[in-house]
Amino acid sequence: MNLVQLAWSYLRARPLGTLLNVLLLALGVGTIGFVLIVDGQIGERLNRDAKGIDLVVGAKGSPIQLILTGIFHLDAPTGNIPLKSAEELAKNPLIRHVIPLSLGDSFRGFRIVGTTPDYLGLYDGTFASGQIWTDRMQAVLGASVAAKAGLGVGGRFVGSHGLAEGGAVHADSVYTVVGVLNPTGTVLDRLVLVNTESVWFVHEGKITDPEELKVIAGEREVTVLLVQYATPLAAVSLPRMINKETNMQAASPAYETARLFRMIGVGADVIRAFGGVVLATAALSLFIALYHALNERAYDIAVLRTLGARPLSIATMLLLEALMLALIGGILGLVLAHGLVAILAWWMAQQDSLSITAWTASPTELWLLVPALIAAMLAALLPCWRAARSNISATLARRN
Amino acid sequence: MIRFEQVRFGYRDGEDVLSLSAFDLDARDNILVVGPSGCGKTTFLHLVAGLLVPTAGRVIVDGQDLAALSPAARDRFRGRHIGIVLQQFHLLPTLTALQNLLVAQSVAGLPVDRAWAHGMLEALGVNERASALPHELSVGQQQRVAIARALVNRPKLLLADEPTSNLDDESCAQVIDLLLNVTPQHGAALVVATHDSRLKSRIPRQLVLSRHASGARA
Repeated sequence: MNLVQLAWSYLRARPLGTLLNVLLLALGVGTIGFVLIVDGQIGERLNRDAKGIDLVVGAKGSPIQLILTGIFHLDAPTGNIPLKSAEELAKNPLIRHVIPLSLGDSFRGFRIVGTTPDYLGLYDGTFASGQIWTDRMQAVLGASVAAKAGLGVGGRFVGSHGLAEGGAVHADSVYTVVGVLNPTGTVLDRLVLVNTESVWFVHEGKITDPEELKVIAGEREVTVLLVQYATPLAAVSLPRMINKETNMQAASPAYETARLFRMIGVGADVIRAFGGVVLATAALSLFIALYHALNERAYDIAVLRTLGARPLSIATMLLLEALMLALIGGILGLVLAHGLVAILAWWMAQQDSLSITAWTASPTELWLLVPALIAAMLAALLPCWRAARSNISATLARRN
Repeated sequence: MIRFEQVRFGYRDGEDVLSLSAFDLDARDNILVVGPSGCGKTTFLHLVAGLLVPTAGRVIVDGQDLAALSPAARDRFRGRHIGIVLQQFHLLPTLTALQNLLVAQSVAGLPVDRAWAHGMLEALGVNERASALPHELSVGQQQRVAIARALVNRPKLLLADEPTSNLDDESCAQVIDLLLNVTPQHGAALVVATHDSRLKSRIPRQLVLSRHASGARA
């Protein structure tokens, strides 16, 4: 029967008050934890998706839109750019490497991206089965696409026009799956990759007149170019050159994602602040409970003192009660945070948006228990001090 | 066991609640502290228990001058050497009968000895109620558990503050019988503070305190 057990007996003796305080603490920790996990995971995903891309070039429009389209595949394209301009740009000595992306069609809401095999290299994509395309109308599926569509190597499907589900179907242009990728945790998982010619072919397929084909070939377009610089110096002049001297637009992923994050960040800050307010409320509620307990238990405390308990032991008992509540509430809060992330992850998966995982816990999350424990300690401070100083003789005499 | 030397206690200068120039109680002896309410019976007990420290003079319990101890050491001394039975037998309401005894061992810094605690409950005839919470016990059972708790650390001195107030004659007789039987069995001295005249016939030696602080007479 030590102080921990004694404190626990008092918590058990008033289940409703205990429950209220645990729930408040859990809500505070849960809200803050939720923001922390989501913020961290989305940041990590976005950074991973943007890794190795120095510049995104596309049609003029909103730079954020260009980044969202070209890197994260979350927004509609700003338009297309002529293939000729793209080829011209690729010759620039400041550029080491260019990966073209052609967008426009989708399969069950997943984007069909016409590109080069280099695009896989950007995300270290490896094949779970099959291999890279060797001809047009051969497709490589990202892991999520393959899983959701239930397609494997040899499977056949048709794309539909537009990036959202439900567009007109290109019924006469059938893709064959030649490869399925391993999950990478990047944007690659939710893309259908084909070669650039496939995208052109789907839209030009019906034209047979050689004259017309020649004209069309001269007017071919791509949607965005993912650019790797040859030298860091390119960052200074290249974007300005593109934006000024061509009818294309250049956007820096690093700068635009940072800008995007500042915008999302306000929302995150609001939720975090809400969590802080709930935690402060929890501390106040805990303080009231302990202070109330102090009066309610004045005689119990006196009895413990007559049994030989020292003032420090009495204070420790109250502190232990607060800390136990904080610990239970904090752990429950972490579970709650992961539950909320699970709901968000499920919702984002429905939207074929960024994939986040709810059930990976990092040891750093245990730091979230610290604000709960600090709140509990602050709440317990005054009651503990008063309990330690209470006049036992007077309390006992009052009752007699 | 208890020795008072020129003891005075007051909350303010010149207004002594209690003044006792000399008082002695031998080991295993019994004494009744009587007097009208407000005469300082409780103050006397609290001085003996070290819950109060005299304004002047010395209170020596089992050879130890209580005022010479630090407050924390005084708490520990009380826990290990003095058993106290409070009015209404106040048991800790969230703990079972057995746990009430175990917590007494624990807060006194003594090893928790379940077998011994069960033995104490057995000696007082309430061991079969060991796992009951106080509100599940009858008043008589609560009394017995409270006495068992006061004796569980093998004190040399048992203090009882108004143990029989609010009790009918039968219960009153039971409690005093219990105290008078159990205390010598455990080799402890017994001090009962009361205004209950029914006890006067049971404990012949009396310390009479009067409202006039100087009038104490053993």
